[in-house]
Amino acid sequence: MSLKYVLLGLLSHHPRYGYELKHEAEQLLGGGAELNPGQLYPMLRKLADQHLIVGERVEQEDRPDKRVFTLTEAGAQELQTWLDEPVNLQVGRSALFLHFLVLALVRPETRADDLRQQRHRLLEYIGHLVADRAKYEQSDDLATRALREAAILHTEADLKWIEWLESLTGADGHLLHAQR
Amino acid sequence: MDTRQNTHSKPESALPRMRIRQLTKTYQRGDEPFHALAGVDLEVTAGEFVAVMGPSGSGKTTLLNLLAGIDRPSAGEIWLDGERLDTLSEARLAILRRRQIGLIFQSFHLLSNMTTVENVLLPAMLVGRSAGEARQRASALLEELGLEAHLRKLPGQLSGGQQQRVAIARALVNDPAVLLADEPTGNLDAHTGQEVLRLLKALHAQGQTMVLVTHDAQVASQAERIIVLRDGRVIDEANGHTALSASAAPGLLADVSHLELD
Repeated sequence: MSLKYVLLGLLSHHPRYGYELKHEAEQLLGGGAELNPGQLYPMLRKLADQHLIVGERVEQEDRPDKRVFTLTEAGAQELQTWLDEPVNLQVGRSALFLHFLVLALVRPETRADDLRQQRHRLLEYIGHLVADRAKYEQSDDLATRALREAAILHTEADLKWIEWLESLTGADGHLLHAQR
Repeated sequence: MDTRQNTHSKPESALPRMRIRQLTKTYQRGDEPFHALAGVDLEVTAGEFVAVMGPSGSGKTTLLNLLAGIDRPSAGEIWLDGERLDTLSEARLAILRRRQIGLIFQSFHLLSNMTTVENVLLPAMLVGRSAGEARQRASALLEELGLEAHLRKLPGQLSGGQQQRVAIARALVNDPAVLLADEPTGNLDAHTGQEVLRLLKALHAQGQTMVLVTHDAQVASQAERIIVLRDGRVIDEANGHTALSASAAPGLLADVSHLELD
């Protein structure tokens, strides 16, 4: 996920001030997302350096100047190119994946228990997420609903992954193929 | 007359509603015996909602069929409200099943040539209720489940979600001691499945004891207790979502979904 295209996308409608971009990006991302200014302003500066946007200073009385940002023709083109290209799947080595690997490295003897603990945590997550879905479905914005659905489906996948790991694991917690 | 009506809603006793001990089901697979269930222990207290989860082939449907008395165990015991099921004769088991056990299946199993209300009232008549009483009870249940406009329709004229609600009404018509459900959302689209799940949760909130088997983590997570089966054995037991834990999750979405922006 790239903040760059969120900002270009927001600016494709009309120019915005920095604080407007922060607020609208958080709205767009849903689920109570918070952008920290240390991320936002360096990114805006970088986009301006690449001539994808232009930042113009606007003088204010009694206050520091603010900047209004506008999408350039090059920025609009870059955004179109990005939008036209479907996104590749990124499985990545998630925190869960790394946790499992290091557990297997440091204390393989507790594997069965560790997998159970992880399942409990995931079931707790998905339990909340599913109950929240029933509760907030009518009131949540699309981004938050979409995010919740993604979280639910990813949790399901992680639970299946744990099931798969368990199918490789004997009752004593050791990997079956390692015993052969 | 049905004198045993509502015996299960008496004040709680120390006995679990349902108890199984070392339940085993063995099939012959060629020359090899195959253990579909290999010594499962489980207690379900009155009013509890238990989900049994596991991959296909883990033994969950076998377990449910044994609990329902549809199938007989190779070894072990099944007790329902202090009565042992696995040693009953077929005839007595059939009677007990009609009175005490409500069943919901993935594919609804409604009788296609009977109307909605007839499907629901049939089990009530089979336990000896008068036609009038049975029809009244069936209509009331169907109304509660939002099907009042469909009483005289045939199952084929209903959507999947509506058919499953009819099946739920049928399962509840004799006020069963326990409601057993086998993948109740398995044949429904995601949205309809969620509605049926909400309905089951509402029934549980009203005190209905339920055992549900599913491979679906979304469904299982809404039970109070989750039993995980693998290769015919219980390998894990977890807490499900409860009203108590519900209040402790603000900001959960922000926690589980990292905002990774570069």
